[in-house]
Amino acid sequence: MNPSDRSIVCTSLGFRYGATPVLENFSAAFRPGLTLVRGFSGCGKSTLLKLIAGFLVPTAGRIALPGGGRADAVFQRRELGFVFQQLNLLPLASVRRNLALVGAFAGLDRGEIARRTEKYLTLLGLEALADREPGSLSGGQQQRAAIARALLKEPSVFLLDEPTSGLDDLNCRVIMRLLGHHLPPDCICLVATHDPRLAELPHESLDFNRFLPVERHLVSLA
Amino acid sequence: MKAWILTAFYLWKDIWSRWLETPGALLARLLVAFLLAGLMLLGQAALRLAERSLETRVARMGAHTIVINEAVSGGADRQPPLGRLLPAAPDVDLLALRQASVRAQDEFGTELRVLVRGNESLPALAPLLAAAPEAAVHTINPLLPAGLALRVLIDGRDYAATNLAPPASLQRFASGQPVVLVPEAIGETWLGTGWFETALVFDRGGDLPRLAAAIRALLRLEERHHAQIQSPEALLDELQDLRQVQHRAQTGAGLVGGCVVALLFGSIAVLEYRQNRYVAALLRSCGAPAPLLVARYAVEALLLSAIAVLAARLALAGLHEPLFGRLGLEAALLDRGRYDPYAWPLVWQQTRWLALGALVSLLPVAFSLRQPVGRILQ
Repeated sequence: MNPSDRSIVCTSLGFRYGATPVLENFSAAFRPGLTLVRGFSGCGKSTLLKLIAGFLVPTAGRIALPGGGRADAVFQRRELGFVFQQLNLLPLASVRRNLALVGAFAGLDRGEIARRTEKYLTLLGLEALADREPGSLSGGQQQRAAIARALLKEPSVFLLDEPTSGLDDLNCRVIMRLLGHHLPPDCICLVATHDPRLAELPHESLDFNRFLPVERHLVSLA
Repeated sequence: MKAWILTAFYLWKDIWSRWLETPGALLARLLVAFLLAGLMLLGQAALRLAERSLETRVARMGAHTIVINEAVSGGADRQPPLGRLLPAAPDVDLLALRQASVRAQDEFGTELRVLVRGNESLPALAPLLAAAPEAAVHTINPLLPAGLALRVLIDGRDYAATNLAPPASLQRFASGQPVVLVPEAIGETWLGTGWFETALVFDRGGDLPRLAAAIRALLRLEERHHAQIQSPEALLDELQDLRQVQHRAQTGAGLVGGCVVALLFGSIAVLEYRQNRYVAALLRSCGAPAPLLVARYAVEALLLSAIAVLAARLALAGLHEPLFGRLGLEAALLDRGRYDPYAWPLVWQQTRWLALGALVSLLPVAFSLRQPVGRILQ
């Protein structure tokens, strides 16, 4: 297989919120493994992840997913794991039920869902909280549950938007261990972050600040 | 399929949770839908009962029957009987009987009215006469068994007779009194001083107004100014008008009710969707199809409408007799065992508009669900 077939390739990508451009003529390729997308708040990191996931539609350019596919509903159900900055869990369903729902949409059978649920809950230290609803969990526990939920389908594309933002070091280390050692094979993992703690992970890096000259004046102000 | 079941289960939990969180929104929808359904069903029941009452009157009169009465005095210039004058047509049956001013009595001493039948009435009488043993004259006495052979004295002469089962049309001729039916060959002698003739014209062609017009024209041309025509045309017209009013009222009330439901349910659904749109977006990000999320609101709206309609029907069924009894409707009409204005097909016919309104109320939510997930979830 051509290495580019296993990558996400963004070509001349553009996106704007109303009249405000967020991305203009952005091109990049993301290979399997961990890539940290870094940049200041508002620089377009989250937008890039949402464009790759198919949750937003680019105003220009194109995104080629591994195998040349497009970010359609089937891709979202089966191949994509996404951790949002906020609200990742259905509030009225237990952690286990949240995972089961995602597994069911991914087309996994009941046995496989149960096996993977146990695996990722254990890896993230959530076994004791599996039957609790998200409202009774702390922020860190919720974030770990969200990561477990996204990983349950062992996605080929795993996108995390500020996964450690606001988390203490202990929770952060649990997530880092998972990202460093337990990603599915050949998974393209993009982490949008400005958390310097994640720099300890072996990774490729994309500095987003260079795409946003408007914000450069903040450096001199800081 | 499992994903759909899990999602549906979650959405049902979401509905239940919202009901518990905001009972006011739930009660407002139920109350408004209940009042609307109640008013619509009440209006429909009133119109249906009015229609039923009119139908009963028309049926009593004979929905397809024209009645002509004429008193003819004796003498040389007397006119031919109506039975010979009225049109004979394949889709028209005629029964014309002349009442003679002569005394008759059966062997039990019962006074009988003497009705003379012409040959033109034989087709209409054939089924009745064929069912009885052959006899020169026939009595029709509801108090005696059909087929009974008896003696009858008419104008001092004795005749062998057979009693016939009373036909429904007898009421027209003798107000239900016992009669003796004699053929023209026998009865002609008693008609010399005149007669009172009643002719029933049964329309089987379905165009009663045209037949009535033809009869009126014929009587006018023949200068039969004393003949009186009773036709159910006016009642049929009234019935038709009532049905049109009913149709318009049903449609109008339905449209108004449907609009109110659509506005109220739609407003509440939009408010709830705004509070809940993150969850909806999260479900969509997992792959839940948008129609399933719209279905959540559809199920809720239809369920509330159905509960309100059921409650309204129950309430009206309980209040039916006291409510309409006060309006002076006869008891037979109010008997729901004989006619139920709250039968399910009738309830559906009226309240389908509410269901339609409930479904229209989903449009804003369905439209909101077109917003990309990425613009909602942070």
